[in-house]
Amino acid sequence: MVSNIVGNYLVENNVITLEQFKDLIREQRKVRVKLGLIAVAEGLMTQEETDKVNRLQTVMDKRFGDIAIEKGYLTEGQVEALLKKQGNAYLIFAQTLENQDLLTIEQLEQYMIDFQRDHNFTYSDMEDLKSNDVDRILPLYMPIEGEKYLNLIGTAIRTLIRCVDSDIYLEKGYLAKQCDADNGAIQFVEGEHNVTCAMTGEGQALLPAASVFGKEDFPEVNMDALDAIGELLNCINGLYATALSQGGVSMELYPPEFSDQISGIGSEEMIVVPLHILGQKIHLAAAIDQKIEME
Amino acid sequence: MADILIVDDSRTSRKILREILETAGHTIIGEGVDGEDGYLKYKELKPDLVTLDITMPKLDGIEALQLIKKCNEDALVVMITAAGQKEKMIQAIKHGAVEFITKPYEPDDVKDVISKVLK
Repeated sequence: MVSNIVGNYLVENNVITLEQFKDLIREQRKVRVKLGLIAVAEGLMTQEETDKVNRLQTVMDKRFGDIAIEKGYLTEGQVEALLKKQGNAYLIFAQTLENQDLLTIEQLEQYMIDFQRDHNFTYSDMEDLKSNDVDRILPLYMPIEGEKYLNLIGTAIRTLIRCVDSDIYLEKGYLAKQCDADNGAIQFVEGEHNVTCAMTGEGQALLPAASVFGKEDFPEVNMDALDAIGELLNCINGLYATALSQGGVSMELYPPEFSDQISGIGSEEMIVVPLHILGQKIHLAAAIDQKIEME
Repeated sequence: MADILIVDDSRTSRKILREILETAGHTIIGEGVDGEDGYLKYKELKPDLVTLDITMPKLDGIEALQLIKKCNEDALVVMITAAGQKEKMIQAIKHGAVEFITKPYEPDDVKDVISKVLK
């Protein structure tokens, strides 16, 4: 998720092109992060120092970490800690940017300072973002605090990652009474707290998600495709209800409803989270103790 | 291998389940699109086994289960449920459901449950 969030920020700010970004996402699956890049990202070494170690590596049969320790740039403990970070998604993205000669880690870190300022994030928020852990990232993008919404939206995003698109990412959620859409599905769940969850799109935006989840190439967002979206909501709400049932709360799921002829959805108050799934922007909406209706 | 009736209001869910069961060598002899339709198809087709979604319009899965059991008390009925419907699961057991399959479908789990029930 973090590579998509940061990558799109770089595209929006004309640092890289959309094509370069798509290449990066493809390439990053093959990339192994170098220890030097992590050391620079962590502020333990400068780019110059890592370049020097890299040069020495070409004439010495030694690992980067061993040379860095010998030269006094890093301690053994630091090398150990850096090695543990090699699988970190943010660093893999940074390494891919560097491999493609688009940005060095130092340049990327400069843009991350702008990103932090633009998003009004704290240092700790940035650490949460770079962790690539959905449970740590999601609170940064929620418009209000509250465990119930966090659990519901979190269940939705984890299910979408597992069943539809592992590269999904989100934009800042917001509170709304209305959200424009051409089509979508909605499901009501009754219990201690009444919950409505909806997934909507404009034009053909829901098509890729419907096709992947429904395991069928739908020609357009028709009622069959929306049935798949409804079924996806059913799975999300079922998992959410399971989590609640562990705390003794019983919920009843109603059959999902869907329509290809709406102008939007409305509620007294709902949270709307824009999601980017398989290259399309859709909206996930949730209301607790309020009902969402298709309009 | 068995003749199976799939009852679910979701076309997507029916299609995915059909593919999994056919891959396992079973024959899908019919599909019901809600509880009432499922009950009528059961009487007409007399399948070896029925998969019955719990959340459906008209008659829900529990109501359809009761009717099917009234018609044939030995009917093998496997309930299909989105996770989290604990109360409904208890009701289904009370009314004679033999097993549960949870959505989203994991093909191996589905195959295991069905073959266990048919043994």
